[in-house]
Amino acid sequence: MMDLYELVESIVVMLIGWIDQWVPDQLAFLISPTSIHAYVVLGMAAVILVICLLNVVVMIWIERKFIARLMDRRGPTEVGFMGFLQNVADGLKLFLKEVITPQGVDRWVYVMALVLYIGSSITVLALVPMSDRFFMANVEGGLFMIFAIFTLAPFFIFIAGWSQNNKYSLIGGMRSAAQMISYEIPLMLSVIGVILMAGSLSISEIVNAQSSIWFIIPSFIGFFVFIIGVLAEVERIPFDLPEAEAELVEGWTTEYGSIRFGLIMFVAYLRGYVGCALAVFLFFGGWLGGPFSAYMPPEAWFLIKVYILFMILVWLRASAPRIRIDQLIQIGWKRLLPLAMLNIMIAVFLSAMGWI
Amino acid sequence: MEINVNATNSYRFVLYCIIIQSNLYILYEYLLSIPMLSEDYFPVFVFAIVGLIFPAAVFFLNRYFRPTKLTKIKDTTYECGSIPVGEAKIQFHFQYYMFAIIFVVFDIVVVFLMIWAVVFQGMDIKSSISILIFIGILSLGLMYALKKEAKIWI
Amino acid sequence: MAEMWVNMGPQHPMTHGLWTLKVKIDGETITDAIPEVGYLHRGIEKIMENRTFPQSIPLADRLCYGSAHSWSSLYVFTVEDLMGVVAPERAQYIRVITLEIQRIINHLLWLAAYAADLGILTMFLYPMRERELFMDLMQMISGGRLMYDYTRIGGVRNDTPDRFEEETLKQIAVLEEKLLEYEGMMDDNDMILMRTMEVGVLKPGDAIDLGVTGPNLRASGVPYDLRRHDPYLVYDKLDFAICVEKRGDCYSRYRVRMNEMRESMNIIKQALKDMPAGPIMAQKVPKTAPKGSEVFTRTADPRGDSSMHMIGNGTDKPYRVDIKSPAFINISAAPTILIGNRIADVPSIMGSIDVCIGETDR
Repeated sequence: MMDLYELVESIVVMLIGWIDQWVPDQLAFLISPTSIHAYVVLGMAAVILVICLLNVVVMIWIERKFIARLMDRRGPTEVGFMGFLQNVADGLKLFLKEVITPQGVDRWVYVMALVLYIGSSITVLALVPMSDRFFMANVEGGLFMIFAIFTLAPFFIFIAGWSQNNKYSLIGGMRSAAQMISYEIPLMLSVIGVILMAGSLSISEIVNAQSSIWFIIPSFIGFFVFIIGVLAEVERIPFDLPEAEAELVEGWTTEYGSIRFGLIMFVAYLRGYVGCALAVFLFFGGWLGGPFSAYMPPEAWFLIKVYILFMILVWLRASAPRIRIDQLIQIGWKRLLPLAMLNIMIAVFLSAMGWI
Repeated sequence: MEINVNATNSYRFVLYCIIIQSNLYILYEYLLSIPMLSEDYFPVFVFAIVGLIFPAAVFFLNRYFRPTKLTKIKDTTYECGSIPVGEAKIQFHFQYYMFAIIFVVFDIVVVFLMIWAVVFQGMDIKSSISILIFIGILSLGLMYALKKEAKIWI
Repeated sequence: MAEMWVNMGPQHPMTHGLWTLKVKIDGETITDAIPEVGYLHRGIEKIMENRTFPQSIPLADRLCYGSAHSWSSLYVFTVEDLMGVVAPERAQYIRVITLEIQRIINHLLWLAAYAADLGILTMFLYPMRERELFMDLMQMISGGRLMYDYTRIGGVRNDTPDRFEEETLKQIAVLEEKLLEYEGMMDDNDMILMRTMEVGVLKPGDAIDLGVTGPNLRASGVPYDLRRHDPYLVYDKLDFAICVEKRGDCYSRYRVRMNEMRESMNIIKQALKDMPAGPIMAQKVPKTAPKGSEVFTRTADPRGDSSMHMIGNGTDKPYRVDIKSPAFINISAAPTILIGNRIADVPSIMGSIDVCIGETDR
């Protein structure tokens, strides 16, 4: 089975084979094997980025159509098939809007915080495979690395909120930090049960360890804590306090207009995708289709699972109000943390008895 | 100022480019010689750069598509249509300070536990029990801290 | 230095209409609050002084977009008191029915807006959907969907159309079923309870001191309903309960309004059953108000006790009109309720006391 690297490599080698006779000697290093490796990696990055962009379009479409159905309306219908291209139209509209940088902002921090927020969120994609052949980097400490990069965002949100010289965004940034400090611990503790059962931090090994049984069955509490932690981490509606539009206008995004806001929304869904993908890797057997794996390629299995999980999150969004910040912290420290501990104990017990 | 474009200059320009590129290439070879980057994490490194360039490029491209008609009123900070009262960059009361301190402790604990979980299946029973005692002590400390919540909620 | 003033409004999602709530916060806790109104002042009282009595009826509709009919009714009742006209009994029954339909429409609008304030957009759309049904009823009887211009001095404009009773009973049956659905979404939802229980408590003593009336007062545990204690129209002939809750928090205010919708449906059913046949306009309606006449009339608006003070000077125009809006008083109670709560509760509290800026600023 050809993996993504080999696929891109064959294309790059073919292209270089066409042009290498015209390359002068001074530039020969541009077609050396090391350079080819770099081109291949860049090509893979482009492929993954484009596919994830498309994925985000699909996910926004799913959210809009599904939540519209839950709310007893139709959602977008006009642009494209069943309103599929509505997101593209909206993005294009934002792209053509005037950029306003208000007075009193710390310009450098204001832009850099946003670039870093978007950049760090995109970087996670390098570590999120779609199957055992469609991946960018399959590293030993993959899960750890994903968490390390994924949970950087609240820092940038905090800085961005502060830099705008706007009261709503200041409070929004503070809330983002508070949310991070109370939900990152349960989120990572809930994963420990899975790591313990799989005995590895590598995504592909965790997925392969679930070939007999999905980890959601032995570690259901872990999944429960994890999905709540992910909701808080990606700031979706029961926990979208940093941009609580009822009291803080748009929270930390208040002063970001035009394409800046467009990219923030795009990244919010990208983070939603990464969160769902993580849950699928850790608890739903990743790209494994079980006995039905022959009917569809592993990438399709993976995406279907991600979309179904995302629909559950949309369902939650349709039925839950926004929670208050002190209640959020209370739940995080007093409910989820003990639950995550309990989950570890269960995993230790199951593992010690040799049942998993 | 007019730029005098002639053959010598453009030749120099190409030469400089090549020199700079070769230097970059040496840097790149050096980066690859660091074991971690060369093996698995190099794609992540590349993706991080792509990820940073992507928003920057979008913002840059956006310059050529958007209108720019700035006025003084547009430039004011958004304060629900009123004129802003006072600065927002103040020494604000961060009420979650104590939680942040507990967080710092627990963040390290989580890292310990993750590594412990990876090697759990290869460990003997004694080391497992000791880590459980460690978690137990921590939980007691956390319970104590949260009991004092009225005090720590500044 | 750690405290700062935050403007909420005029262009803010929390303010349903144009008004400003200035909030002083320390961290997330509110230490002070100042409501500012007046952005929507149109001088309706003054305009009324320059129009003849029937000309002001559509203007009174414009006092509030949420419950237009109750305001034009109040105006008409005041003028009737001023002139000494009594509407025939059938007209009074029709007025009760339309007023209660208006109350249901208003409370459904409130419920939708409140849910949106809490961040649960599904509940915004569900009550809006059922509100349409009742707006259809009002359209059937008056032709308008938001501004009805239906009451007239001495009666109502037209009699109920055919099939009106049938349709009303049908829509009431629908709403009775849907109210259970709303309660399933609101009362069975722990997160809603977390956001509304014990939040924004208004003590009964404070409420009476501040002059708060209507559902907000009843939610604080004071069983006061103008329809019972100073009956107008035919409310004394109808049997209905006063909806009271004890705690005075946002949840109580929500419960009171939900129960009031049920009571309103009850009243409509009774009124439809008891409605006599007969004329719908008084025999003789004078064009002018007697010189030196002065009245003060109150009705139970969906938001509280709305009252109007009017002086006649022998011409066909009022000499002076004063409107007292319940929402104005409810807004001025905001600082008492808000101080000590968190900034995240501002939408929850201000949403629960049901603000309408049209009638506040007049």
